[in-house]
Amino acid sequence: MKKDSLGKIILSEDLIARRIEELAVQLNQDFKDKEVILVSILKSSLYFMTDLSRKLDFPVKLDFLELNHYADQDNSGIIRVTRDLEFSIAGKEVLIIENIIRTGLTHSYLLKNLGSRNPKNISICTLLHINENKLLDLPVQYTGFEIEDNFVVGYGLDYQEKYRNLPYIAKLKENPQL
Amino acid sequence: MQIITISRQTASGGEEIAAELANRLGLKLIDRNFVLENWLPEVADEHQLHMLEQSSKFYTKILNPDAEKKEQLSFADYIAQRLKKEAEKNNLLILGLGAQIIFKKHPYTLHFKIVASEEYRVNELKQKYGLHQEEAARELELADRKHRRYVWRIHKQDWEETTLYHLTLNRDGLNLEESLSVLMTLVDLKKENPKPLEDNIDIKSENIESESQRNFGHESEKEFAKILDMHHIKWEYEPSEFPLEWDPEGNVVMAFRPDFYLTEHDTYVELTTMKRKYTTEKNKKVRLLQQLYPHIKIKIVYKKDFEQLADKFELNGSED
Repeated sequence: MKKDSLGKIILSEDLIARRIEELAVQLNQDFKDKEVILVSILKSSLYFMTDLSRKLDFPVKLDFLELNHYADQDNSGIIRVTRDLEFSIAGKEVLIIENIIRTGLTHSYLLKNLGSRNPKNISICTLLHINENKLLDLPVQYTGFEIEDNFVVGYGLDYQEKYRNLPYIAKLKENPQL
Repeated sequence: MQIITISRQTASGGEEIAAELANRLGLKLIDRNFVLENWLPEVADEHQLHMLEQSSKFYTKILNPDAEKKEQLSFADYIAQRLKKEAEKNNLLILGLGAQIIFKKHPYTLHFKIVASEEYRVNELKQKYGLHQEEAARELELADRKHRRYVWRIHKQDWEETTLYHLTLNRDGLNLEESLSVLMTLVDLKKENPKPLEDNIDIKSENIESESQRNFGHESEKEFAKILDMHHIKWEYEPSEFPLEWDPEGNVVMAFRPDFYLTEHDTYVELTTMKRKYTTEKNKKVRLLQQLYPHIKIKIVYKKDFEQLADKFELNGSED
């Protein structure tokens, strides 16, 4: 797929940067003097993590978690951690950095998995949040943008591994999921 | 109910792990002391209790010799019986007691063994009890022998057999927090697909039967159940029916049974992936349900949403 399959830019580089500044102000206030483990969900939240974390002035440790769906015999599959955290989060303040929350399914698994490791507290900060028709309503403490349910790429989000490195977020001209 | 058994070499720190794991996972901890203090006094007199504290052989003694032959129980049988009964109503963490064998075929059990090198264990004993090197080594040898004998006498199994355990953890390279993290991750993973160690044919065929016998009304419901399983989300299929309309005599004339109930999220889900005329009918029922039962959380998954979900998990799936 070429770049001309890209549709309208819905969030420009500048707009994303400004919103991240605002989020950082809020986080700096809420987590003042706390030591926080930032957990970035690979790969999509990589850029969001690097841009956001550099604006934070409370002590942070950076960690990464990668999830994947494994197929089993009857092709039903199961979500699994394929790259686990480096640090123990027991008794620690954890802030999950996610790029997009769409159905709430992965979010639910994350909270269950990380929650079982007994952290002091888990909050979630997502750049994009699709609110309509969300299957599970779970608490999201920090949201960059509420967007409509479109297939979007860029700034970490991909279509078949492409477009992650775009500095902005755009729709695909044709939603490949429809 | 969920059961975790922990066997440990003396001075490998198994007690500490057991106590902390039970605490973090909210499991009731049962160990030999608990049994000696709470269960055995119900069937043993003072002398017998003293013997039970001292000798593993005494556990094979019959506690009710006056009873009929088939009613007779050894102290070990009694403990096994009480453990099984307790496991029906509580989530348990059992330390020692041969529980890895008693619950070998139980599908919701995980068996862990905690070991450490002799050097590690001797050091532990030296530090804890101020023993000399040789005393500590001797102490270890005796205690290990006692453990092995107990399991052999009662269950005719070699305690050292590694396949009795899902996981054996060596404390030499793992501190408490790391050990707990490993164990808790496995506990988390096995929650959704428990499997006993020994392939039990009866349990297996039962499972297959119940899966294939689950009569989903529609193929999409089966697919949706798979997506939920994939995300470790607990669900029930059509568990409740909500009356929506009544005739003047109070008989229910219209009711609605949502497809799924997500137990941990207290949310009902209705799939509307059928033809349009059914969708309109369903929408009407959902609206009525929301009016009559405003405290009930219900989500509708439309054809488009469902297809996106189904495609997504074939397509890429690493993101939400």
